[in-house]
Amino acid sequence: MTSDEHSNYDRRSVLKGGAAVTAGLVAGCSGGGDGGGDGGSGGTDASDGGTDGSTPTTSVETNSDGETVLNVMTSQPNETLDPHDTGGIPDSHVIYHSIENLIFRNDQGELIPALATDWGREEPGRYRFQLREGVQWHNGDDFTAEDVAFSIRRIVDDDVGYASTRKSYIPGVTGAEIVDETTVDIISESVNPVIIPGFSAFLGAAIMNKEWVESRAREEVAQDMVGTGPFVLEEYESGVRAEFSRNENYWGDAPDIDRAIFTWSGEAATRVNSLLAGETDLTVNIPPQDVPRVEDNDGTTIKNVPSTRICYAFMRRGIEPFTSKKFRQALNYAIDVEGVIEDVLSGFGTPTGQPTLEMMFGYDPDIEPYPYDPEMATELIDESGFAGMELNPPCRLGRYLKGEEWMTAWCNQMNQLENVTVEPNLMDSASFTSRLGASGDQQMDFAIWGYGQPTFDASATIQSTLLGESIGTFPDPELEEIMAQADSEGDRDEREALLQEANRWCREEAPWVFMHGQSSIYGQNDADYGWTPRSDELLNANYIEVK
Amino acid sequence: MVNTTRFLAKRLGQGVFVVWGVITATFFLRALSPTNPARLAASPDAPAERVEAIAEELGLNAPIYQQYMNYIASVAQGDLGYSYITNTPVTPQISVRMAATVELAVCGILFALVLSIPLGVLSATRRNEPPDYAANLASLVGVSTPNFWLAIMLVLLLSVQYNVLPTSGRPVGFLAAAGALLALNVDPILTWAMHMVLPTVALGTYLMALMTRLTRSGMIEELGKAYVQTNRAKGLPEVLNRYKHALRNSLAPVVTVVGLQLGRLIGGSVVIESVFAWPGIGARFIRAITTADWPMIQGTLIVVGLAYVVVNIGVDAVYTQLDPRVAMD
Repeated sequence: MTSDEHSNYDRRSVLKGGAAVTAGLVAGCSGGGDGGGDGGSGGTDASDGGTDGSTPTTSVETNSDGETVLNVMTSQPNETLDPHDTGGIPDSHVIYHSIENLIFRNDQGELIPALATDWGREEPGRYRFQLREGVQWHNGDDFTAEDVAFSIRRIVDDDVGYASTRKSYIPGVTGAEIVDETTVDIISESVNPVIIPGFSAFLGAAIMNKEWVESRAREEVAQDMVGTGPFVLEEYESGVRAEFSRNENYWGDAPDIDRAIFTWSGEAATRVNSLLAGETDLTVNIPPQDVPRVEDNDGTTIKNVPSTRICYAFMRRGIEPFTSKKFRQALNYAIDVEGVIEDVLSGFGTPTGQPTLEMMFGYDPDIEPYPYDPEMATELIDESGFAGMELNPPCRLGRYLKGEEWMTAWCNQMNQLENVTVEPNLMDSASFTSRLGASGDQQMDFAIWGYGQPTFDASATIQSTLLGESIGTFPDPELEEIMAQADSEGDRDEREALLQEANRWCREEAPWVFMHGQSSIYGQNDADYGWTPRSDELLNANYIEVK
Repeated sequence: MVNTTRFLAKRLGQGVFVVWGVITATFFLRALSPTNPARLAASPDAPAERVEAIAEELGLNAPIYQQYMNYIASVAQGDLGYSYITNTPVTPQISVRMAATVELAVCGILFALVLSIPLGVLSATRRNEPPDYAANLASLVGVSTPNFWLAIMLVLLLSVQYNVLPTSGRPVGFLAAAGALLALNVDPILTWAMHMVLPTVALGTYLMALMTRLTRSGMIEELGKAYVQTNRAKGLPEVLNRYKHALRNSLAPVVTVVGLQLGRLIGGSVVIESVFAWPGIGARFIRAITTADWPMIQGTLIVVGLAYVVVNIGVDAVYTQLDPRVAMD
């Protein structure tokens, strides 16, 4: 927990060749990323039978037992409590109040020790974690190396547990070995510099209580939690509500608030009204048009932060007209990114010219976004030999801040060019998702969506969205070569240089139409609580201060 | 009586057939749907073999007819299967949501009935007088106000502006609150009632307006009939004439509308549930659709279909009481 300790670990990792890994975290904070996010579960609804008493010590609203209650309303429901059975932020908001990783990130994006106190590479393919001693599970069991090894196996080994959706968040990991009572080795196929980004992300390796999990059916594990974290689950109704109380036996600093209640509403107006009425203390995804209402109201404020979600259009390699670099670049020149951010997103977005966002390790600050230059675009399309193309990109709805508006705006701008026709094909999120990675006539060659990942490292986005065999759209040998080097490079600076090279390659070759980095916009009760949003979009009541 | 029993038994038989039809139709729709539930259950960038492993685990790789037979067999035993997304049994999830929806539907309809019948009668008996004009105006406004708009306005006025009622949510269910009341704890039922008011009014206003008009026109028609004149001529007190005879005879259309609307509301009012963050079946169903959670979709349709059938049988039973001729077909 102390910063001294932390820097030691950092140094040790560096010495052991794990530097590259930790680097992301540091980049995370220096890049100005603090956090925040969208969607989740949770919610509000304050009236707890008889709230509203004041105690002499605080002005915060308390319940009849004099406890401070934080009401959180998210925009999507929590549906499972099994941390190995979800890839979703909505579930994670709730899960990560009770469940912890070996290592984690604080609200500044910095790497912090959690259930591990020390870590570093032993040899290629073997990464060693020293476990925290004296930690207890919420049910009173002692936290052991067995729990850690079991949790890793439950994710990566289909025979322990089931096919976990989390496996892709800790790529390359094949298993775990117990060295002694407080030491566990994570086994991967080769040097794996993305171990730290993966393990510290909230979608990474969540640690569960072996005995508790093994003595329960999968469906029971999905509806209850026994963790080591700062909050103990008190009440839970899947997709409706979760209520936590403070873990008085927490190994770290106990949270300020006594209780946290999560409810949700997909309706932005409902979230805003609930915040303004004082029933909700923290809510997500405030539409830009409602920002002034929240700002002008006494006791509430807006917090916004660049999130780790990047919005773009991908163009599939080897498919006409995207075989032409000039054509790909032309579409980048055709859109007025800054104008749309200003007019459609009310400024809540950041223009991009590379697949890596500023808060991530490997971001190249010297890369400029493509300027808006429709004449150049027209010219390039003529030169590409693909003038007169008709494009119909699927656009994923329902997931992004003002998604339909900015997708349509950018398609319209491309459509303004006289030698190309672009009509958006607006599509619901489920249909879009099930076509991602599809082949044959379901394959999408040109489509608009947003990708978010919480590892704070350039590699995850590039490997997954460009090179990955599942949803990768641009498996170019040159880029593969650069990334292969980067992902086996143990030296931190060398690795950063390689990732930046990959980003420069992407700017030049334009495998995407680069659009914007999304901002998360939160509404918060700032009369009673102090809170810093996280850029990985996770809501974590642990970091909320009672004023 | 025998007639009535046979009539209801026949209705029940038809109901089972309807529910079977619902199951079968959903299966056909599912076969036509291009979305892959395994892909949606996995994370967006999960590799193909992961999606395949999940598909295998969910039993999606079996031929559709086999999946269908398995499903029919388990539904016949009362098992609606496991949700693809939460991996928990569907039945308890639906029953929890149904409780919230039924509470709201019943309150909405009671609100409408309690206001509309007196208003309708008043309007009919004081025809073309100020009370009639007022009732007409009120019902016209009620019928033409979209419920989502009304809901948002009520919240803005009563919750955000004056802070007298909560904006949304259902922190406690009726059964739990009633249980607490038996233990002499009044708070939960008050909380329940406070959260119930705005959704009830928003949901029930249209219905209230509609039923006021129906009652009014039914009453006017009945009051003009010969038997009413005869009753008057016999010296029957006007109170009995109006309420025992004319009102009862004018209620058949009202019962029809109540039955239809109750059936509709049991499917969940998505709009009201969304605006008030009400954890009902409608919002859950939409969620299931967007995640291609077929067991949840099918389970909901079956339960809602079943509820619809039961409500309709109930309506028929009430008909046979109001007008015994209905049972004689």
